[in-house]
Amino acid sequence: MAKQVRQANRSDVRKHEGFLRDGNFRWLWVALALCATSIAAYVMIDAEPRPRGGTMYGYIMGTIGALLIVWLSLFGIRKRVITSGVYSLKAWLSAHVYLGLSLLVIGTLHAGLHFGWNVHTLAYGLMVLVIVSGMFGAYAYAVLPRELSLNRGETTQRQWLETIRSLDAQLREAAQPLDRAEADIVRLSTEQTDISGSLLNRLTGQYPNCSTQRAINELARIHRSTPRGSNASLDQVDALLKRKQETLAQARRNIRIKSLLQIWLYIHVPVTFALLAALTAHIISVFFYW
Amino acid sequence: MTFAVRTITRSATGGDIVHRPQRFETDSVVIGRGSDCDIRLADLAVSLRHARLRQTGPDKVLVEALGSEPFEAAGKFTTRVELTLAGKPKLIFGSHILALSASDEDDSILVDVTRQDSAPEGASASNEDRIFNLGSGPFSKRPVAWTLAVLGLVLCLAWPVASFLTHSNRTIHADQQWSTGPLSKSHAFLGKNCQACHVKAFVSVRDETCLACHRSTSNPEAARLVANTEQSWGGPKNLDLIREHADHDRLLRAAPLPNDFVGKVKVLFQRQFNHNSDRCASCHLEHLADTPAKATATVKALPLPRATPVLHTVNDCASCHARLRRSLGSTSLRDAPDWRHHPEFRPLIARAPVGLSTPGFDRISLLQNPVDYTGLIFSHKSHLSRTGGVARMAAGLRFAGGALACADCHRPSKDGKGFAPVEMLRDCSACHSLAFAPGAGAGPRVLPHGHADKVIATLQAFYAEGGRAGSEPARQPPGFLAQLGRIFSGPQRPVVGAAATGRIRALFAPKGLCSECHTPVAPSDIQLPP
Repeated sequence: MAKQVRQANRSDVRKHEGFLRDGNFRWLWVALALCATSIAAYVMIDAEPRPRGGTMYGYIMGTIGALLIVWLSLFGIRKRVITSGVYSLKAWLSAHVYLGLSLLVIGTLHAGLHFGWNVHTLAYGLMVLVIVSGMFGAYAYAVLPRELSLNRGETTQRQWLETIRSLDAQLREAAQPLDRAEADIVRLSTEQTDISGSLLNRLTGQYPNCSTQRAINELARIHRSTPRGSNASLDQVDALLKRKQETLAQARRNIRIKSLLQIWLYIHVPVTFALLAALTAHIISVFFYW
Repeated sequence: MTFAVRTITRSATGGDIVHRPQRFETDSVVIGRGSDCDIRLADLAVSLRHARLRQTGPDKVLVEALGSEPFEAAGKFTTRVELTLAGKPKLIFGSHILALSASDEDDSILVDVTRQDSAPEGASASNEDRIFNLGSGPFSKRPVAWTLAVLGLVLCLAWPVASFLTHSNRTIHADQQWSTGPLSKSHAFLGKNCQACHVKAFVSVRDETCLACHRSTSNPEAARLVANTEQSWGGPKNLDLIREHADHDRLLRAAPLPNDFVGKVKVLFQRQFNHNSDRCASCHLEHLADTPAKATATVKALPLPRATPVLHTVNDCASCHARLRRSLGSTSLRDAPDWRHHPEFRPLIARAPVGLSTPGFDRISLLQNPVDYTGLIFSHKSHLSRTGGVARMAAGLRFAGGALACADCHRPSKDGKGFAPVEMLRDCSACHSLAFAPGAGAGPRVLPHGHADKVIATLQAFYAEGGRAGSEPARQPPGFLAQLGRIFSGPQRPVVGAAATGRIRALFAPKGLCSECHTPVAPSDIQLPP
């Protein structure tokens, strides 16, 4: 029997809900209940001489927190397998986000609001860093994909690159009759334009030293002394440079959005590994020097 | 004179395609981007009319720039160079290479024009991933993640554990990063010596560790060792000494389970994980030094300007003793819910012996006005009386106040918390002298106290030497020594044989010297001379 492939239809699209709203905010309510219970217990239990990780409450919260951290870390493996249903990847992501946020409360109460310069607070600090970077990631994934789609329109990344290559070829051809100084201006754009730029350029979308823009500016300076129309090649080059600059701007908006969608993972993932190491050291050291 | 210009291009398969040569019957050719040039290079890095190539000899050519823009020849940028064709020189204009050589077939000069393979264009499709995604490389997620994880495990775990196993933590302090907080003021000197208390890995701090410094012992050698141990670590000179007041298992059973369910579970967990709540460290919590003390009914917690070390005591006496009989049925102690309801003290009272039985002791409440049977003739009352014989003797010996006080006989113990046992020679002999004859040196000969057999041996030796009372004793307390004088210094002749034995026996007789102070008890365990 041929395997039936279920295709998305219009009703599916209408019913689509993001990972934050999955299951009618099921995991948000679970996380809130977990936080409320933890806070209530923290307030009601009179830990002597003060709330800390070494009390029974502290051990319970520490156990929950450690298990949560390990489970949340496993999302890196889980996300590579896309499934549907109650335990779908989207449901996992929703739980990952909300339970990850609740970890901020659980970890803080486990520590009893007591911090110092030691491996225990290091683990806490790394945990906070992972959670904060994850908060940015959740925000980015909730907001930026729409912006990305709007910018892209009906084009693709590869099409932008092809357009730029084509414009470069036309620029080189159009600049053949130009003298050396004018040809060098064109070379600025064709040979020295860095589409993506540095990390700062990527994240801000600002390219103040863009070679194509500099070429446009240089040509504009020449045009101020030479009336338009007197040099057809120069006018053609100018038009081509401006078209290239428009394509570059669109590609760079795409780069900025994608960089924002990716940059937080460069903190979230490595610091998670560091957190797992510090957590291991934290747990073992506590029982090593019991 | 002929220049044959051949253009060589690269085929899709990687091979070279040599196009039909273009021949110029002239003595010089112009190289440039312009359409009027003989050798046209469609390269924006080349000027419109860049250079002229001219033959200057049978085997020589001269290349001159037509403007200020140089070209590259023999690895150098220049505007004029004369080249020998035999060396097959190469000229570079922008991305084009012009290889010069003399033709083998005729006297023409061959110019092979090739375009250098340049790096892929920035906008090439192969760069798409690099352009639109944050790059991979040494700082991508995975290598950084594993590096951080390994660094964390090595620095925060492996290093302190290795230092623990090699006992080098006292010097390099790798385990300081594990400390959850500063120690209390009294223990602050141990702050960088974790292994002083955490002796075994994965074993909670044991009482033996605390007692290494805090053990109270009557054994002077053991006390010296304790003091040395403590001071070698830089601890204070005065410290609280602890005398364990019950066996370990009894302490464990006496410590009550908390009334609440959570507390019970907590204690059961502690016992299960070998983290019992009967240890010193169960109540005397450390690493909490920056916790302000809680306010009590009598002590108002002050806002602390900065972290101040505090030693926290979770359980006090009443925690166990309030309901001790319920948790420890075999105890003879009475419950003491608090100091106001503390049961009357029941000191250990010596009871009078019956017949030849050895003395026994009972705990009797002070409310029952117990009488301690000490076996001594002179009671505390007679010693402390300001009138009577004792007071007279005290006045005669110039005791302060003209009568005896407590401190004249009782001396405080070294720890200052009690009194040292009374020693006859030190505390009583000023009045109750045991001198019986002049000695060989300055002092008199003294009877040993507390050992009847030694008394007998001393006197036997004395009489065997032909003992007699000689000159006056060095000290003459009134009354008592007068009796000694009667015994030993009356007759001025040697006492030997049965007479000596009689005198020794008389010493222990009901009205003998011993009975002056002690209630006569037949010395059943000594062998008097026949």
